[in-house]
Amino acid sequence: MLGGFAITFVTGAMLFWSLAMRCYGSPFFWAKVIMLMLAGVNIGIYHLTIDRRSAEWDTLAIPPAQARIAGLVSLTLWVGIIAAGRMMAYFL
Amino acid sequence: MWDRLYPYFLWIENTRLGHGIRESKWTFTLAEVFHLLGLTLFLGTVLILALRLCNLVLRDKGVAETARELMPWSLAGLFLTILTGTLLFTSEATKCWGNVAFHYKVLFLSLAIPFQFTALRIVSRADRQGLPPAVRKLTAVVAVLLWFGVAVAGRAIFFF
Repeated sequence: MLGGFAITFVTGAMLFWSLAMRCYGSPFFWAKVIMLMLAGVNIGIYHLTIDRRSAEWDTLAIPPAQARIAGLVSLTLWVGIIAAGRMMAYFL
Repeated sequence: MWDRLYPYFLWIENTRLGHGIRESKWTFTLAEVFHLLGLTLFLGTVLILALRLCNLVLRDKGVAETARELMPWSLAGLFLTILTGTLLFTSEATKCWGNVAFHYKVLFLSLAIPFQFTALRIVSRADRQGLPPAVRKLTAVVAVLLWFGVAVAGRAIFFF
């Protein structure tokens, strides 16, 4: 997962570098940046709180609500990030 | 033979559906967004299965079980990708007809789809657990390469 993130991050940074000023003017770019930061905050909170106690619920069929919410937020944000990234091409 | 297909491509492009998508910027854009989402879901799940076949992830879970759990997600992703891809194609069929990257995409697709539903499916079955690891790994690598070929050629259509 970190390998995939690294490849996407490096190539994304290169693409951004080549079009930085046009990205600056695109509302979808800012939506993407905000969602990326929220995704980072989400996974940070997850690791610092409910994941610390994962031994208690690791084998349960249904994880606790906080973990499920973290998963749902993550899914939603990453779908939004892909959509915003694609939309950028039309509104650069 | 490709030349003879031109009238059909033209006909597809001139259908009401083709016109509608071409005229509406939002329909095309949204179709592309959902094409990408479907593609992420499909390639993501295929990649996990391929990594499992190479013994790199989920080692404590059987290959057949992994394949079974991923299958509905793979199929949903593939369905969404093909559906939106068809819409996108309909709106610019003649452009695709003359686009060398599209030709490669069709070529890779015509190899990747049969490979996905024959070789990859067979090596992922429970009764094939005894297959040599090299065969499983090779099948996984070929499947991923074929799908990446489709994706790269698809992305390249824009540049030709």
